[in-house]
Amino acid sequence: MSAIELEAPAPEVARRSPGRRALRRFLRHRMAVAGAVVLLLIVLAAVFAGPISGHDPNATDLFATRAAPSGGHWLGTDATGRDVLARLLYAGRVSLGVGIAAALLAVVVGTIVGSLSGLLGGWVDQTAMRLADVFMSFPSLVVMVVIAGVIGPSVTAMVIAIGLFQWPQCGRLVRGVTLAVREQEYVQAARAAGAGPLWLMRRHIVPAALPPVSVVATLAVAQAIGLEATMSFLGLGVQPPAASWGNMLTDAQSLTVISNMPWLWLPPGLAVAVTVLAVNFIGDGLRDAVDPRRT
Amino acid sequence: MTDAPLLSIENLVVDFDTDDGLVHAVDGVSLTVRAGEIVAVVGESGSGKSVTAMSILGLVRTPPGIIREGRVLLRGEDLRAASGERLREIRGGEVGMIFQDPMTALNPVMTVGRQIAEALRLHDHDLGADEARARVVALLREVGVPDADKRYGQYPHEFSGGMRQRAMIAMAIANDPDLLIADEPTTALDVTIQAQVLDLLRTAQRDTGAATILITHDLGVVAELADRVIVMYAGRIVEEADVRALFARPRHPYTVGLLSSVPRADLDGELLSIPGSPPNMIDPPSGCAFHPRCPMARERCRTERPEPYDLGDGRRSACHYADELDEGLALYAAGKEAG
Repeated sequence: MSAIELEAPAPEVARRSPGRRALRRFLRHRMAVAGAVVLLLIVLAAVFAGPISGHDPNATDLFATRAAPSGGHWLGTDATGRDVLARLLYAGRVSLGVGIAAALLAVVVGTIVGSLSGLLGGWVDQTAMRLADVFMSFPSLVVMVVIAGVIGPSVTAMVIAIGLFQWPQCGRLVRGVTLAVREQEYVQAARAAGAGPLWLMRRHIVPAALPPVSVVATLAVAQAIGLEATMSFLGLGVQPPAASWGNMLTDAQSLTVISNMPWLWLPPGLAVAVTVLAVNFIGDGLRDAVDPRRT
Repeated sequence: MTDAPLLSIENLVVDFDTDDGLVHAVDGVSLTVRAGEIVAVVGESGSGKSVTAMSILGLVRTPPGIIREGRVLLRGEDLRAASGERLREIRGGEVGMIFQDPMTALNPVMTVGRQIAEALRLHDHDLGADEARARVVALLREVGVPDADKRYGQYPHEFSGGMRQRAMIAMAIANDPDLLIADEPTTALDVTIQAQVLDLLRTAQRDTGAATILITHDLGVVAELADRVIVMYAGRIVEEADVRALFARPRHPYTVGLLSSVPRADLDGELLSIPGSPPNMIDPPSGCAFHPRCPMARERCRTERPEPYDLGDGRRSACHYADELDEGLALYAAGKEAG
């Protein structure tokens, strides 16, 4: 073919892919970077819980119950003489795990439901969105207590329950993105090239929804960690002897403990607060980083 | 050429349900396209030409669109009755489509190469990544994108408008279609680039042998490329003719108006605009939809809707007075000069 080649060759500019640009913006966000660093430390601490604490989280020492922090037990011991630091770090695994798993579940379900809803429209859309409304209008904690009561408290049940109440947020968001993307000419072009709904979902809609979804997902992790702590605190989540930040706080229900033994409740309380804060900062940073209106 | 048409549209009627009322976008359009020919569909915006094109591939969204009646036959196969799977096979396979604005018809966050590769992989599920890449680079080269290898990994914003349209054309011809639908392929481009893209369209058409439906409002583009012209007005075909015949002797007052509103280097004389504005498609004029703007409208035009009828030589016109057109317009022009 003898097409005319009048245009200059591709310019040699150092290109930044959309992902790289977002990373740059994220790194400019100090609180977010601080949050990411703190979260990374927390994750590392939870992963290397054994070597760091040097204690078995479930080993009791009845000669040293509720002992104040010392060289042997950096954060003291609890009512049955278990090392608080070890429990705190192992609890981190559970709390982070539940938080991430629940958020992931919510995001996956929300993305699938939301994109199908937006893409197919009609009764699919109506049904899915009314379902989302129903979930969003229930007081989630009450229902989760009921679920735990009916099928018994377990980590799996909790993850599913939390995910169940968090997907509508993500679902609505993805539906919104889908409705916007669906009108784009490139989607029309893809359809004209033979793409079906699943293909459009995978190639055009999910990638477009990913940035805002990542923000919602981060915030969902924070929320899920908080919910896990609440449920475990109420005795409906992680069951003893397994440790979670929530059930560690259960021990701190007496006035004596609160006023005289801060090592029993301050560490798990702080852990929840700091983790949720760090995750939220990351979410904020992500929101700015992926906002296409910023450069 | 009397062989069976590649594509035929029979009595297509498409409405759109809008908040303002029912828009009668396409109102009984019938046309045929033979293998290898270039048919231009011309008309003002809102004349229904794009909707007609979109209907071929079933890309009119319903709702708000309502396809009332009509058949679309591709080699005798009724596309309106085709399964979703078969339609997706045809889209991008036997029928390729080029969109108006290459700026928006490419996903901004996906590299151009990948987007063309996807067009290939949609129709060849076993195509490996390396092979797809090689074919895309070859395609890009074919449509005259320099540095195709490097261009493969670039994003649409790194392409100029003309390059993007070349990429779109590469995507449309990727699977060697029998029919190309080009919806205003040069409208969004700089004038200097338009000629290049038209050249490319012509070579692409010649090389692939694909019949082409060229949707445009630019009569210059029509004269450049088309074999046959279909003029649409208010959702209906008002005239159809061989391109030379149409330019030499239009047989519908609307075509006359269109032609005299195009600047021509070979003719002196005043540039005329068609008086009035395109009709309201929610409540189109009675009788002939063009009568409120027609210089030679008579009583009959107000009451009786003209159907396109055969004038011989493959020409059709939907004017009651197609035969008297020359005299009528001469009278009109004289009257205008006198007044």
